Amino acid sequence: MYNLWSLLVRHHLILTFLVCQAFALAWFFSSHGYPRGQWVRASLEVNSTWNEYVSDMSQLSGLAYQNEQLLLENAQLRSELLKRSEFDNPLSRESQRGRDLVPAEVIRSASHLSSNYLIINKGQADGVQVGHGALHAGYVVGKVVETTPNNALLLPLIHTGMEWSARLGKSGPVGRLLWNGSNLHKAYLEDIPRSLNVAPGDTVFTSGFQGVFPPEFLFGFVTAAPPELDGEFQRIQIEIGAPFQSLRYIHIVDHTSSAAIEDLIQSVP
Amino acid sequence: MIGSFAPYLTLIVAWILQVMCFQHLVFANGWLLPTFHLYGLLLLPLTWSPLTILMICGVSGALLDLATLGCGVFTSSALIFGLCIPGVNRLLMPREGYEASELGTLKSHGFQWFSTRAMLLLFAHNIWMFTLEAGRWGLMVDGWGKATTSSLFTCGIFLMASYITQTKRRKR
Repeated sequence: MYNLWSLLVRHHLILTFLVCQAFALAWFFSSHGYPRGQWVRASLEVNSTWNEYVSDMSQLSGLAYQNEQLLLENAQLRSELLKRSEFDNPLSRESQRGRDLVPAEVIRSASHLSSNYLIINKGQADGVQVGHGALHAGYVVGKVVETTPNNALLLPLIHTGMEWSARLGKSGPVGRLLWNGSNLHKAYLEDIPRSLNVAPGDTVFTSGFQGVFPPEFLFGFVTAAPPELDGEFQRIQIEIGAPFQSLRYIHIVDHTSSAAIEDLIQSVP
Repeated sequence: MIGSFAPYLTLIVAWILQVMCFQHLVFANGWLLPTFHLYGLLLLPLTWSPLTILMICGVSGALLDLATLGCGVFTSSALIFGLCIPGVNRLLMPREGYEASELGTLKSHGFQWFSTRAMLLLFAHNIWMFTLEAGRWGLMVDGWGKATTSSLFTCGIFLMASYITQTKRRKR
């Protein structure tokens, strides 16, 4: 017993380090690469004012005001367009649901990590909920994963832990869109049948299956790089449409599944 | 009176500057990422016990994680930093040893000693941090490159901060 005690005393530094390191790594790996939970909401609340201030410092005040006015007008027009297109589609069961876009300003963002994130100045008070999608000029930006009354945390396309359901062209096959962490402007569309001819410039849209975005919003365009063949499938390089390094204004869109759809999904064995 | 509080003051000011200012100053797509909160940890007294230094580093990293949505990555890296400090201090120890409560400043030890110590510790911290953040083998080489450039960048900031705050070199 005495020997054990003396061993612990002798190596107390490395033992303390290992215990603390285990806690830190458990914290890191349990978060699965992105922050969430009560402390995130608290941190967003505490930091939001300062983040907004820093964000505003980089903009000329007059220009920022004009942009906000344009953004509001743009959001109204897009909302009208979205409602109209659903009304025109006789197959849409959601045409009765008034779907508005919420304009928001990015007050903090990270685009240099493999697990990037965005923080916006709109939250629950503005109707932003977990699971909502984010768009910039019609291009997909990301998904809301955490909200507070006044802010929300989003995971963007450029996050290595995220997969997105994407369709090649308006009526092509559906595949998985992934970002591999190496280039901010490039993503990959996987699980596309090898037999399909793909040309540079072909558009890649949201499929609408994921319950985050309505169908036919743009992810980006197929690049000139030749597809990588993998068995019966091909892996296609995509030029991402949203400019993540200069992103400032976005729209939040609600396309979350209804409770009835969620119940159906839960019933799948 | 102020002298005895100087390490704590530096620690707090450096931490606040990292949260409020330096975390927003990321250049070259993440290849120049400053970690200024480590400046306060670097200037802790050289004769403090390794356990005290380790605990201060851990707490500093954890608080930074809470403030900047770090998810444990700063805690883990700061613990590596804290573990390495006593070893690096021993490695660079002058023949006559360190005086009681002596700080590892540029003013008291000179450019070569300070920059070597800062680079070794920053490199250990950043290698761990960028490897952890990369999360997959394919991104690690880039991560190590970023660790190297970010260490040089942060070391430069430390030297500038030292020249600004520590005006005159003491004669030994």
